[in-house]
Amino acid sequence: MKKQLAIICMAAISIITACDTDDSIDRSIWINDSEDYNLPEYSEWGYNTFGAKMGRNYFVSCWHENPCIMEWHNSDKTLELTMNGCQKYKKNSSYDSYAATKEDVSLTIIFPCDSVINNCKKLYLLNGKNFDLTDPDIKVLVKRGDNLQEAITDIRSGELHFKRVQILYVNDRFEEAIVSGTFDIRYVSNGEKTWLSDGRFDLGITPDLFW
Amino acid sequence: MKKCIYLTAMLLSIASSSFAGNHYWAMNTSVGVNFFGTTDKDMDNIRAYQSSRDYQYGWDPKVATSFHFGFTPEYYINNRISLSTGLRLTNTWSKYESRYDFFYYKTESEGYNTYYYTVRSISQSNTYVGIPLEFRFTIRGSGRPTPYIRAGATFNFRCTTATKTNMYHCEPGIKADIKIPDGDNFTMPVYAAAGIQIGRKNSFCAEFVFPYIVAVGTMTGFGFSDNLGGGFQISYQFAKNKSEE
Repeated sequence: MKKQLAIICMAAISIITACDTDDSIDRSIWINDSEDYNLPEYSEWGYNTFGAKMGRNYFVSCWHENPCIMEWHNSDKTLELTMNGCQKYKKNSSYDSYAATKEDVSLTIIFPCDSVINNCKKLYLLNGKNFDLTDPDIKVLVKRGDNLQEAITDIRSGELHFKRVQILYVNDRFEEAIVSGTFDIRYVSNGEKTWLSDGRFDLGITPDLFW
Repeated sequence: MKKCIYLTAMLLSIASSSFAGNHYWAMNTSVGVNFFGTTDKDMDNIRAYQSSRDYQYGWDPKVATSFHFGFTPEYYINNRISLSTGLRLTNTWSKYESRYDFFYYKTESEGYNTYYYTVRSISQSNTYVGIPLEFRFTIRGSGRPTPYIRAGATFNFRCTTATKTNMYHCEPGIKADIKIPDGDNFTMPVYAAAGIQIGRKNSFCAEFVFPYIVAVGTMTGFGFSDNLGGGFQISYQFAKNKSEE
């Protein structure tokens, strides 16, 4: 009986003291922008957040399981970046923890690449790259609420800037690519003028999130 | 006008009292402790663990503690006013510790590669040799518990720094090249304190050091630390040629 008890105790201790799986790097961490607390601050830590002003409201990351996903299209050598978020109303004060959600919104940008970026370790090739979103080779798709994804054809101005791309190693093991940058876009959709301004993103692209 | 007359009378009374008494020397030996609260931005290489919506970042803010002891000869202009200087050794100790199992610490980046290491805690100890310059005004005559106020500054120069990192990871053999910046090369706390002195010829002093800020100097320049310090000090005074009252 004593032997069994000792085995149970040892097993319990080993379970309690075992190293945790290192999954916390995937979580979204929202640090308020010091000038506009409705947006996340621009960062390069892989916090898995993004945000932009969307007219009077905001397009921000909303604790989706996968706030971002990237896909390489080998057929036409294009890279697809999708940010899954939501449109939120402006917070009344900085003390409000959460703003009310209007609807889910996802923004997809498909842009051509000079180099082959067929795995997330090669994302560093985007470092410092600027893309003019009015370029006809670039596609922008928006999905709002339950509506179908809509291709934006009338883009008046826009820019996607990958300010910094880092290949992240945690305890000397490859973990993910940290893709940080800014974006702006002004477009007309169904006769309605819409704009995303002061956009910023800090995304951790793990091998699971790169297709 | 009345205020001016009152102020002038006060200053004259202090000045006259300064030259009224006998002059003498005393030697103080003192020990003290000070506490500082510091801000998150002191550790720029720690990745936030929680959102600012949660009003915390996931690691305990650095709380620095400073111990000091010293020998300071003190020259009494009279029984009320004295000036002192000397030598003081100060050791500051600070620690960052995760509220959870670990936090991510970013080491220097190489090209496009960035390295995070999982760390339980980081502690650092800095030792300074300092020269204090202080002024003491005793509110009543000596010979019984007498309150006093003390004000001054200490010019501290860093001698040694020791940093200890407690890593968190499963794989053996991983050694992170974590470089925590050393303490400031030069610090100058400017402070004021209030205390009581007990004893006649040789006396015991206990005092409370009011919150103060520290001017700091690094290799790149000077500035003010945004941390408030405050603490306690006790000292024992050996007086020479002091007249018994």
